[in-house]
Amino acid sequence: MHPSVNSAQNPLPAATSRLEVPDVVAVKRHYGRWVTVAILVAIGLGAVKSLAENPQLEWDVVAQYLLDGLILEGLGQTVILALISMIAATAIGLIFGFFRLSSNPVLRTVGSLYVWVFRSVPALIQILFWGNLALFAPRLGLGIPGTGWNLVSAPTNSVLSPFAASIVALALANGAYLAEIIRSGLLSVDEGQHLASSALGLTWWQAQRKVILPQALRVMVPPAGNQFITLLKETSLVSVIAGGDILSKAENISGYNLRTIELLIVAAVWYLLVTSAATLGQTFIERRTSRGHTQQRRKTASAEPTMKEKEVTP
Amino acid sequence: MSSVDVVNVHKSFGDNEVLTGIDMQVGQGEVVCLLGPSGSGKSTLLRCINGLVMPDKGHVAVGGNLIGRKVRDGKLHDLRGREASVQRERMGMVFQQFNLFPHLDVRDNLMLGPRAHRLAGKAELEEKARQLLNKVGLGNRADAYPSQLSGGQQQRVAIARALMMEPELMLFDEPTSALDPELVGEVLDTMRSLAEEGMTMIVVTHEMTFARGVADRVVFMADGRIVEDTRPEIFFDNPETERARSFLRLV
Ligand SMILES: Nc1ncnc2c1ncn2[C@@H]1O[C@H](COP(=O)(O)OP(=O)(O)OP(=O)(O)O)[C@@H](O)[C@H]1O
Ligand SMILES: [Mg+2]
Repeated sequence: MHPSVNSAQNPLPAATSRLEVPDVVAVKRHYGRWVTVAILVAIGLGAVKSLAENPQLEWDVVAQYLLDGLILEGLGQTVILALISMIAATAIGLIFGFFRLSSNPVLRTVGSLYVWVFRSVPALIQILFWGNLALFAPRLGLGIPGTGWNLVSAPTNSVLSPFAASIVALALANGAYLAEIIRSGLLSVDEGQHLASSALGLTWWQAQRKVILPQALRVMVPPAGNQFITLLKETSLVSVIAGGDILSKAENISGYNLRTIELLIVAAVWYLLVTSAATLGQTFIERRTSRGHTQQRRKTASAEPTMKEKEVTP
Repeated sequence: MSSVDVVNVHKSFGDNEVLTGIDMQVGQGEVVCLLGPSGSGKSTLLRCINGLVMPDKGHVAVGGNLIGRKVRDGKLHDLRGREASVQRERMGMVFQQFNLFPHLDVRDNLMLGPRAHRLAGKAELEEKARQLLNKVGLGNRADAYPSQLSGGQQQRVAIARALMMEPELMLFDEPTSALDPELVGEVLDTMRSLAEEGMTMIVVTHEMTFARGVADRVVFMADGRIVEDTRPEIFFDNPETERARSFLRLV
């Protein structure tokens, strides 16, 4: 009893022991950062200078070929190759992603086998394989194996041009990664969303299309964007079968003018630009797919007036 | 007619026998509260009633239609996807965790089901969504996303979403268990007015006051079977079984 009565009556000891403290907080000076920046700038300038002054490197050749007709044609092929392969890989990934989540064990096994094979074999080997298919399969066609009966058939080389072989190889190789990206996206959607869709009487496909995939997209877009950027650069591998991409063209040109490094720089500059554009696109799409998705509140939600009354998205 | 007839329903998950012979009838316009300890199989029974879960044995009929199955050659066969989906149109379900679609605003949450079933034109459905939102007291939140609403508001949207399908039967699975205590009342009020309008309802709940005040009947489940099925005043004041008495002592 006594102590509490005492403490209530006697205030704290007088402010004799208080610290003298100024109100102003010193601005932080990041000397370390400035030193690092200075060192990096010096290294960068040195690198640029040695490249610029290198007598072996003729920059006017780089400039001359940057907008060369063949190079631009190759650039177009590279972009088309990447886009078509990405679209095909997404379609393949969607199918096998769903297969891997199927309740049907046959489909699940097929899905796992596909991902296992096409993710394990290096893309370069897959490209060489499809590019050289004619070596062991001289004709391609539709028919029943072993019966000799063929519906249609044509020489492999006429059906599968190096460009077509490149698309097949890149689509199949990247489809395996996209299948995994799509699968994990689908898995990220809460079980309750499936229940609610079924309870509303949506069919499986309606539920996927209207409820599950739109939400999975938010999770899938960042890794899929990375995969596309990887694919953009991976298209350079098809130069081994003369796939017609920008690197193939650059190699063609340097084959007769012997300006190997200059033409590699030309190709590198274009890869840099195209990849940067893709990165911008990725950021834009990410922003769009996360629309309306502020943090879900459930039990923690309360009737407090902190509710964002004005944050109504159009 | 919307009567529910549950006949000898058995359901196991692996070795876990969750429902061991459930028999239950619910008449048109009746409100039945399903009570019981955790794990007694209440959610599983609700899901059997609207065909989200298929019984291993026995059957459920709603409005005289067998749910999720059809009889051919003296045996039960599962319905195909679309046939099974169509049956669920006429049964609304409300979940403990609301399960609103977070990527859609409130209006689109309400419209998704009826649009998928082409129940009516867009304008007509928008008008209906507006009316239902007014009815649950959220007429001004049609443009909000679920994450911008409180739990109680989300659950009322979920009820409105189920009502959009013009169900003959509403199933509620612990609709207020995920809510802060001060938000429970608004959801229960919505359910009470629905009951007064004559909706057939099966409600799994721990809200004993609601069960006593609104239910026509209380069904008490334990260990996968129905232990008592009686009027609420009898269940709460004079439970017949020791199982029910010990349950009521705990709540
Ligand atoms: N899909 C499922 N797979 C496996 N086991 C399940 C599944 N659904 C339910 N169970 C099991 O069935 C039993 C009964 O579950 P159910 O959800 O029906 O109980 P409940 O009465 O609703 O309980 P609660 O009050 O906790 O919600 C539990 O042991 C649960 O683990
Ligand atoms: Mg439950």
